[in-house]
Amino acid sequence: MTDTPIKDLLIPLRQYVVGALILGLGTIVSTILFFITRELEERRTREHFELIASQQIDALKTAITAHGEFVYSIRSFYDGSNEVDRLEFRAFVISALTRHPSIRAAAWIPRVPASQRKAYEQSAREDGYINFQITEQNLHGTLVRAAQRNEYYPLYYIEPSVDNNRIIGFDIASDPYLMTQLLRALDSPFIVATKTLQSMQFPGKDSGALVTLPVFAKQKPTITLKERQTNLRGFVLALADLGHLIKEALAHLPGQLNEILITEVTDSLEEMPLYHYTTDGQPVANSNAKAQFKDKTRLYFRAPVEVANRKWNLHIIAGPGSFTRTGLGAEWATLTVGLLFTGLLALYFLRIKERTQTLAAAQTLAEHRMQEAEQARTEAERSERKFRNLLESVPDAILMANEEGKIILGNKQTERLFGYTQQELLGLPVEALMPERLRTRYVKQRADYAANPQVHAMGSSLDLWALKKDGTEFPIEINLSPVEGHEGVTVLATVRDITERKRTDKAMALRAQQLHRSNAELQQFAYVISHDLQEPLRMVSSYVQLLAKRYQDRLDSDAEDFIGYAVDGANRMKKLINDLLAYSRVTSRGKPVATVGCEAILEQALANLKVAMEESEAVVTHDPLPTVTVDETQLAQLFQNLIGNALKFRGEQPPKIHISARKNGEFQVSSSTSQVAKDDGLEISNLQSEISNPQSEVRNPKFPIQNPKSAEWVFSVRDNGIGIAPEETESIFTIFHRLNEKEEYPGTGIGLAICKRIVERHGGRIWVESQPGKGATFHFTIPDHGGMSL
Amino acid sequence: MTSPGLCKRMNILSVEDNPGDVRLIKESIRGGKAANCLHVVQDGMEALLFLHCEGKFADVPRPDLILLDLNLPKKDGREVLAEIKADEQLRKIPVVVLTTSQADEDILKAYGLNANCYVTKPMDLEDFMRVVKSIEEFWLTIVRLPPERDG
Repeated sequence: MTDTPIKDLLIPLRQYVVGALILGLGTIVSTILFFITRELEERRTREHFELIASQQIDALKTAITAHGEFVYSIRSFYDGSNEVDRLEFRAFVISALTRHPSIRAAAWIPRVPASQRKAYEQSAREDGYINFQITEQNLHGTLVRAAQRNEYYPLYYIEPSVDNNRIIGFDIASDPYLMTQLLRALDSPFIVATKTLQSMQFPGKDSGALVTLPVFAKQKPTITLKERQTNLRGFVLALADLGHLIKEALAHLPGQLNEILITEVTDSLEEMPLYHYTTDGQPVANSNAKAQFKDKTRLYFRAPVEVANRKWNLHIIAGPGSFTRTGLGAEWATLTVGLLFTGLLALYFLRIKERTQTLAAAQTLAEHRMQEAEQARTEAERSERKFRNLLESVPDAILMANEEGKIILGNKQTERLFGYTQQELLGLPVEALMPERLRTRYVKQRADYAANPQVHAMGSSLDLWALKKDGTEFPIEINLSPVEGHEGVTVLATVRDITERKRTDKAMALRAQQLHRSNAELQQFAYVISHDLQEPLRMVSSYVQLLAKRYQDRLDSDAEDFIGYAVDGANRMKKLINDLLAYSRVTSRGKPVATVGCEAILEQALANLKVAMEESEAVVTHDPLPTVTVDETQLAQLFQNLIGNALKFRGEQPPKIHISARKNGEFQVSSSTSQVAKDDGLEISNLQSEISNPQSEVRNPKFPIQNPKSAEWVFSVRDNGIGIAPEETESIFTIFHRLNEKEEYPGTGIGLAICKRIVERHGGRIWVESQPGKGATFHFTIPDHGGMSL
Repeated sequence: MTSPGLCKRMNILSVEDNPGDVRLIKESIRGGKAANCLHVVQDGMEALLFLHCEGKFADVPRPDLILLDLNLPKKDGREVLAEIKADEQLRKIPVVVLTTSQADEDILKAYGLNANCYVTKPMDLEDFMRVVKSIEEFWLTIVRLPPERDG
């Protein structure tokens, strides 16, 4: 997984690169589209404009042509007639005038030689123009009678006559410029913009166009200029109101307001602006045609038209505000949309990437999780295996039951114990494993248990029984634990076959009973010893004494001796019995231990021996003695016996007895020199008191408490008495063993046996070091439990 | 032996099954200063019959002192003691448990049953006789006994 960090790093990087790429591409594409759109837009506009414009131009052309044709028709009229008088002229042109409102005026300009001036004037006056004369403009601009010249070219017929009363009769020839222009018409039809005729006061002079056609004499040659000049009759003239013409021509066309610029292409191929109108016939104020050309922001459409042999260019210029490339066009929309789209795309892409990344991350996570789950599952499996192994390793039968009381798990031991196979066990109701008589009670208990599940041991005291597959019953002990698992609350039961234990218990109970009985018997035995044996003894003793007393004067010395032996024997018997009783009582009457100071106990023992001590002038010394946990009485007895012996078995000198104690770190198992396996009744009374008096934890010398850490106290009682032969040092502790003649040293020989019993009861041991004639040192150990009770 | 029923001195009832001890007791009392009458029964049943003046003991006097052994045939001394001390009339008679037993449990039992005192029979003859004499003296001369009722 080491490339993950790098990958993680690359992902954002790549992401950004791609994002940037997308953005870039998108922008480029958008821009391209922008331009394309713009182009298309422009084209469309242009085409649209061109369409309109061409329509307009065509219309214009048609109108102009019609206009031109009108003039031609007038000429034709003249060509076709010798004379055309005013009325005829009027009649002819009136209809056209009516038909084409753009034709403002039509005029006939005859060539009037000077000689015919008067005639013409007269004729005109006769036609109705009372004050007709051929006029000219003076310096002030007023119309005055024309000066004499060779030829006059007056405006003779003008229609509509009403409007043109003032100028009728004006001599074109008076204005050289105008004349020149007029004469130019000799070559070709001549159109002149009235603007140029500034000197003339033509109505509508700003918006007019004059078309002039020469009329020649009939059937005269007109090929050469000269011929033309010679044969010139006059001119026909039509004045067109261009604005009107335009308006009229374009009225029926849809379209925005454009401008029409009419230019004339001069011979030098320069364009000379003539007229500048709007498409609704209004002259454009502040016309700066030349500048318009330069203004590329406005669409214009140009078409050439030949009018009266003049080459004109009709320019349709898109009106301000229309067809112009300004501001927010579709291209911008496209661009905006494009950029927006790009942006969105980029965003989307980024989002995608992000999502992909998230997805990838999620996937990685999922993989992780899966791995973890895998691990967990493996763990779980391992755990499960461990569990199962554990289950199988336990010597008890383990069962699990669900809430309905059906077995869901059982280990091998269960199979063995109950005699079912695993398959048979699963799903079996728990009560199937019980004897019938216990089933109802169990079902109720199960309900109780389910309501309040706890760890619950139901044991031998409840006398529970189980049922094997083959129908045999056996006693069991059950331990219940609730287990919370994914299957709900289940119960884990540990079932132990306690048949053996019951048997053992029974055997033990029996044995205890037997022991108890035998102890009772022994108790009785001890009682018998103490009482019933003594009774006859007493009889013997008493009556022998009575005999001696009553018949003493009749008895001889022999008799007295005999009586003495008898009595003595009885007494000794009594003593023996008492000693035996004392010996047995070491354990049967053993009291609970207490922590006592040995010195106090020693004092007590010495107090009991006071008389003997005084008699023998004994000196008893001791070292500081410890505090031990012992049966006080018995320790006193111990000291008393040992010291008493020391006093008894003294030598020549007065007895010097010294008692000391030291601590021994090492604790050894008490070397059991007392053969506990003895079947003497007194050993068993040991056991009895163990059973009946658990407080006095009688230590069985065979099984002393081993505690390596605990120490023991070694007491020593040293005397300067007669000593003991080494070979006897073991046997002197035997019961009733006497080394000496009974006469020399009284005693039954039980003293040391009692000492040994006392010491061993406390878990210690006793031994003697001695040499004959060199006194004896008796050692005994008392374990130091540091507070532990025996 | 003084015949029962006619004694003007104190009456002592000995409940003792051992003839040897009976004799010893007799010997001990005989040597005493007062000529007290000693009555002897050998078992627990007889003891109670005597005390209730029943059967063959219809005319016996009420004893002033009872010497009671514990281990008796037919009815154990402890039972006799219990019965004596349960009886309103008889319980006033001092009972001295005179027995061989030194056993603590016997001593406890006896006192528990309200024996007036407990004496172990000494082994030695001299001691025995002395003790018996002392008992007699103490209980019949030193101690004030409850006055006898009429009848």
